[in-house]
Amino acid sequence: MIQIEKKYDVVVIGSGGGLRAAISAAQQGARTLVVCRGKVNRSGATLLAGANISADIACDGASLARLGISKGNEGDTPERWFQDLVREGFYLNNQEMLTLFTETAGQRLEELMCWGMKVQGMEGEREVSVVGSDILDALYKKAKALGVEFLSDTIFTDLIVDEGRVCGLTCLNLANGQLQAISAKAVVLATGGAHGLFSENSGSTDLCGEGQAAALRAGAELVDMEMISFCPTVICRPYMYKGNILPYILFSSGYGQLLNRIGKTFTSRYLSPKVERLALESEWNKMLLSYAVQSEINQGRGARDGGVYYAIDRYPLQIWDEMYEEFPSLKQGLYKEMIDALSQGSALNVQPAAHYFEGGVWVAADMSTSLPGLFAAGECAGGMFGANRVSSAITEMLVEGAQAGLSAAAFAQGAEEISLPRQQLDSLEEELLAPFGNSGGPAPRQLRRRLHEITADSLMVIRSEASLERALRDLDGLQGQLEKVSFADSQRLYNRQWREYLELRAMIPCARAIARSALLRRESRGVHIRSDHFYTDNSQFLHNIVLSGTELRERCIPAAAAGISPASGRWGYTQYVEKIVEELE
Amino acid sequence: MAQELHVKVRRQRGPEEESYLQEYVLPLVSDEPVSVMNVLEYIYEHQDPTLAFFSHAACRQAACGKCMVKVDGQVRLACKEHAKDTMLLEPYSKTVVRDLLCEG
Repeated sequence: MIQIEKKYDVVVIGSGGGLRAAISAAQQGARTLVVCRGKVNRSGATLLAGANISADIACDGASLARLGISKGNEGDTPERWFQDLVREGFYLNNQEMLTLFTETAGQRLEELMCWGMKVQGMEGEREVSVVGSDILDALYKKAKALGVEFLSDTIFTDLIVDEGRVCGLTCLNLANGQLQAISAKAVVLATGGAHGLFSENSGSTDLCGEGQAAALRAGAELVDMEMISFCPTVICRPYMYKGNILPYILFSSGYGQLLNRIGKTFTSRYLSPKVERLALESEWNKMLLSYAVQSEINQGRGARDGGVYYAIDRYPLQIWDEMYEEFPSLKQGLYKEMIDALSQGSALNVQPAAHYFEGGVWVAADMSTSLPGLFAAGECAGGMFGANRVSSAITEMLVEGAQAGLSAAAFAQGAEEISLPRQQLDSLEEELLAPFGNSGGPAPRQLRRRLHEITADSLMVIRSEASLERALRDLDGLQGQLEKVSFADSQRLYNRQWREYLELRAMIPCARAIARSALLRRESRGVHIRSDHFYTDNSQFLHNIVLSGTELRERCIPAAAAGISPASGRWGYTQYVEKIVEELE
Repeated sequence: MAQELHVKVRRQRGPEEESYLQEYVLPLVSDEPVSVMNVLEYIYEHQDPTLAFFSHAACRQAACGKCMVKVDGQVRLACKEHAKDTMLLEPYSKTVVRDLLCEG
């Protein structure tokens, strides 16, 4: 029987935006718990922001001047920043959320500095350079001081819903192998992206979409699921460095080249001169380079052992000094190994990898979902960046986390406690333990491998109707297989097969939602590229696609209904990118 | 490198259980760098899905510091340490949860 643990006002799942939400909730007097998959201040997406070398927190220039960080962009305003963000998001952003973003980013940065985070310098006009682990340490220390409780090494599985609202959740404590139920008046999901459903991804292993999938199962909605940013140049070989984004960091600073099978540059094949310059010299490189690299690979001109080559010319030797000066951390550890290989003429094989999920749980600007008592923040929530994130995901999780914690505490204050429905817990337990009673079924790893084949085939940078329909069919088959899974490992204590079963239970529904949304968006916009509809169509697709229920019912919300809206009409994809960039200038 | 890797792992079913050594032999298919983490992942995927080691919230790039394991007596990060032709892997502390996974 699932053990029922303590009762809380607010339970937060995740420890990036989740930590910030917990701080807000605790400041309002809510009894607050953070459930975290790994170690609280050393896990999740925040840790790896900017490869833990150069994460950035974005903020308007006026606030940066006020905080004494930089006077370089003093004439900037939150309003001007807002205008840029809507264009960068190809007009799909939730503009009410975006207002919160631009107006409170300065406060979020200021408090983090008060809580002990160090500012390393500036990265761009609106980007402050920081270290991911430093952000986590500052948030963790503050949350602890406020009396927030923590449950680490614990995987969240499901929300418990009764009387039409959330009343708790279930999770698996990996270290003792026990399923636990926790009673909560309000729950904040801050579980990050669903990186794990792609073989090629730049995240840590804890990002498997548990929040999005549980929200969908419990009756909340998902929005913009087709929007996934790929980091264009993530290491795929050697395996030892797989998932590392160092080539992206270096290439963005101008070092090195991307070469195809025969050692030629190729980006000009796919991008007009103007757009190519953007791809090589601006923050837009994620979206544009991913398209170019993926195209070259799809044309059969990729490197012989996967991806394309990232190489740096050995001469002039001074280049290397320049680079070490800019990135001192290249002189040690894994980075030193990679740089040594590059300096000896070996290339790193790189390719686009799932990097950031613009879509996620649908939320209103107060971070409430469509299910009473449920809130979401950070990457697992959708809507802030529309069809393309150029600005900082760290700022997003801070802004949304702070708001979600406030909203959840307010909800909890006005809510009666509901005792956890035993029958629901019993049937959940049966489902979560089912594979232990099965025999002769597929191993979870086998299904995960299949899932990775499907996502690599259909959900990567360039999509088409035929491949997406195939993906939906294959994913339905996989969902059926999931019920037959059996384990070779019969222990419950730190059973990895069990964990992978729970992850598949989250990742397969997330993949289905992405495929369905991508199929419904018969145009190319921002990071969503359809080879069979290679144009941006403001007349027909200026809306957000929202999905609900396990059958993925669709509704559309007009984007930019109140606020800045673009000209109606239809443009070629790259032509529209040029148009957006002109508007930005 | 040799054509095979010989890895001995000190295993333990749970905190109060006796430990024992188990040997795995892995074919080596390429001459590129291989980490201890790569080796453990290979064993899990192809040979023994019951082998427990830190994998549930791993950064894979020496930032989280959670994949510590004793390699031939020295505490190392599995993701950062290069595999050797022959090596002994043991839990890094006395607080074993299961196999190579320790508390903390």
